[in-house]
Amino acid sequence: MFRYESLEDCPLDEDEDAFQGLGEEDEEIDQFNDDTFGSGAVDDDWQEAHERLAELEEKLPAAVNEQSGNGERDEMDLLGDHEENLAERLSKMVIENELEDPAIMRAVQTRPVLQPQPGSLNSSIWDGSEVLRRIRGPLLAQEMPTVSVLEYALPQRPPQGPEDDRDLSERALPRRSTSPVIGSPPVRAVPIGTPPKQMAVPSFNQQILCPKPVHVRPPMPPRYPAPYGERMSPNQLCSVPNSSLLGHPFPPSVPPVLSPLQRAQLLGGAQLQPGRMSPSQFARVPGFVGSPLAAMNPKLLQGRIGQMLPPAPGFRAFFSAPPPTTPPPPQQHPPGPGPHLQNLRSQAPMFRPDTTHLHPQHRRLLHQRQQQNRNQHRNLNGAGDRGSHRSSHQDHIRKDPYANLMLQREKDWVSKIQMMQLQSTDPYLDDFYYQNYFEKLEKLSAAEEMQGDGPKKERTKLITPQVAKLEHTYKPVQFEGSLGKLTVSSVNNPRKMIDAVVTSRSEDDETKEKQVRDKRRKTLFIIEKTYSLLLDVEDYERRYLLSLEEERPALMDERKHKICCMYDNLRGKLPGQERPSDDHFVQIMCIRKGKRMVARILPFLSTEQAADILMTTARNLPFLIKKDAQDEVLPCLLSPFSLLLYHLPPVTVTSLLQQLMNLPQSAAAPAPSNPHLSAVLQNKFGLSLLLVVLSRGEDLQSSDAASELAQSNPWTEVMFVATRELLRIPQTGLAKPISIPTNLVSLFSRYVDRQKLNLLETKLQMQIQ
Amino acid sequence: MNYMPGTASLIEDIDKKHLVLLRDGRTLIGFLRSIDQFANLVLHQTVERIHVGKKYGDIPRGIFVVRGENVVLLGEIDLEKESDTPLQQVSIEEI
Repeated sequence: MFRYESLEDCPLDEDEDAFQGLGEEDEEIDQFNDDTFGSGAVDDDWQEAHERLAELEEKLPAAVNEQSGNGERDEMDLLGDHEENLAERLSKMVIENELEDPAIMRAVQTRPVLQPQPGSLNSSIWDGSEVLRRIRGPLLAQEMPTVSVLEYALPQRPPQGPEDDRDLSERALPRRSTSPVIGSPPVRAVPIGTPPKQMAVPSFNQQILCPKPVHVRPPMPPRYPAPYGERMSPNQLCSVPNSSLLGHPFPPSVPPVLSPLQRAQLLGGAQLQPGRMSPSQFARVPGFVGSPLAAMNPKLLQGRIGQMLPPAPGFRAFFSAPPPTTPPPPQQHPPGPGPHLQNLRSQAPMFRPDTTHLHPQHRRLLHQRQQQNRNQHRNLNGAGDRGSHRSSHQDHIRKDPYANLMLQREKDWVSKIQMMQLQSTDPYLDDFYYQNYFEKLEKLSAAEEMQGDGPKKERTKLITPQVAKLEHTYKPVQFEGSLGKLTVSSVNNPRKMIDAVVTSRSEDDETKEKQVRDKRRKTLFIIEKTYSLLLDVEDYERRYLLSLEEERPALMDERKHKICCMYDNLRGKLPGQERPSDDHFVQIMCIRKGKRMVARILPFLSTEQAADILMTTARNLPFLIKKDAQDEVLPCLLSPFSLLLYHLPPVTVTSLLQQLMNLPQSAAAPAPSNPHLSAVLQNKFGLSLLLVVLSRGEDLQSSDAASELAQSNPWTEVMFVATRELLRIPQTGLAKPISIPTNLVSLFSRYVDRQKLNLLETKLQMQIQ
Repeated sequence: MNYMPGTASLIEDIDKKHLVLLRDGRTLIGFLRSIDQFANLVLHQTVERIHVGKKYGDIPRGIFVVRGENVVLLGEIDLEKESDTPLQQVSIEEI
């Protein structure tokens, strides 16, 4: 900017008239910096005041040193050796247009000349602006003109030695680095991770109000500060000891020098809030303590600088300013490190009851509100305490000077993000386990309610926002005016990195191992496909309930179709008239996941299909048992098989038994050994299955004894053979069955005599459960 | 203040004393001051606690900012029960 360029030159100038040059450039500056004077400034007043000042400056003895360092030093000297000096100056720059207050004008005019060197003043102005410029361009533009007036009224300090030169230059930089907000550039493009900085002005007051305990939280209404105890930030704590000033805002020890400055500063801040406070009201305020200004300023500054939104800052600046106190500035620092930062951070929602410079009515109102909140929060705390230990915890919180470093809005912001992550168009798909879990819980509680007539317990439920499913067709970015199609790769439109080509191998290359591996892979693939179908099928019930009447037949058809697909997958793709081989199925059954899947599929299959599966299993049982040695998953099949058995006709049961025991078809001389049966018996599942089958047969036999006499013969024959086999089997290594059906004794008693029955019993441990 | 019932959120843990176990095995104890959406933590008045057998030693560390992915687990410390521990505190040098 034009102005800054000129300012930059100034410190380097050895010209004594540099300051005068500033005065001359007033007119030009007016033209260039609209926003400096645009916000309610009355140009004439300012210019007059400035000219007056310029005259005064000329009267001052000529500056000895025009160097920037010295100038700065002197300026700093004038203010004192505190770090706050710079901040103080900076903070003064925050204020604008205070000079239209006639009271200030008068005060300024009557001020005796304090500065020894106009040149130093020059450079100080420029330096200050320089520092500020880096901080906030637009802000500074506004505040620049005010500097001269303020500095004019600064108290006189003796010039100091050269070491201050270094001090000052050092001071300039560390000043920035210690208060990071001051040093940070104006952040226009807010990165994704930052909390929202804007705060609605009306919500400012409301922040003090007690927030309602929200149980159901759809996407975020603006939240208000938490219970009062938690709101005691370091900043506020700092103000607590000073609250005595509430009653006596005008302590006697006011150096008259600073009062107009303070007023000016405060007024300037007030001006930022149009209509809120008028200068005339501040005329009533006689003045403030001088020293607190120094301490107030950094905080004021920080409050100012830390703001993104113009309307709020002035107001906030007031609120952030620590109250005037008689003790010197160091004492005003809150008990702990980083007061500035904390002040800044905690300023936003903090209402200082001792902001005496507020409009009295306003102050009263805010104070009232705060009292309200205090009471509310206390009650809330009392109600919300989980037992007595919580109250002590609350005490801890109250005494914790570092509490509430995280602002309420930041907490809300994090909550908001978390809630956003929960948004889902299909919660069943995205969050299946959570949904199921809560359904179960609800069923439980509903069941409990049914049993007892207790009051309905309102369990707070997380209500996630239901987002309507929007089809976003991704349109890749197209550049206008470009020749051809420029492809821009992004998340939605990824660029192809690797050219993965599927090459089918020739048979010659394959080794045996590869073949085996491929086959296994294929099986795994089939299992996965079938599993997806299974999950869909299992879900149909829920979908059925949610769907409309018209859609239901379609759903049913879909379901049937899927079931058929599943079965085909299990048994082999191209079903011939007869199942060519069990190989496919056996392969599936060799894999653990396959077995569990079959167990889940069985209920959906038709009886025939299921019987077929069962038969195949029985036929190949020893092999499966061998393969299951590691997984031991076969027992999971027992329950669906048992269920199935109850639907099977006796013929099937009979043949099943035959299969299971590998019994010879004829009752001719049995084979010397029956490894099939041995294997079956030695396996938990096998034995259990066998027993279940036997039991079922027995049931059938006994239930329809009369009608099924004709058909019972095969069964009886088989049973004879079976018992013979069972007797033959050595007892060693017999497994323990999962469950022993009760009717086995009666079963066997039909076919064997007492002796053998006892033998069988002991062998099969039928008496021992 | 129940922020989000049924979810796990660190918001309610703010300003409370926590024990944080990191992936590298360190145990930090401090007041949880701030969090963000990645569960990055700001711990205040942090103390690194080293356990050796039945004894432990504390090293005061100040303020920690922990990246969320490095946290294995964290839990609130009950200030009253904190002292009821069979463990014995010793000096750092000893540890």
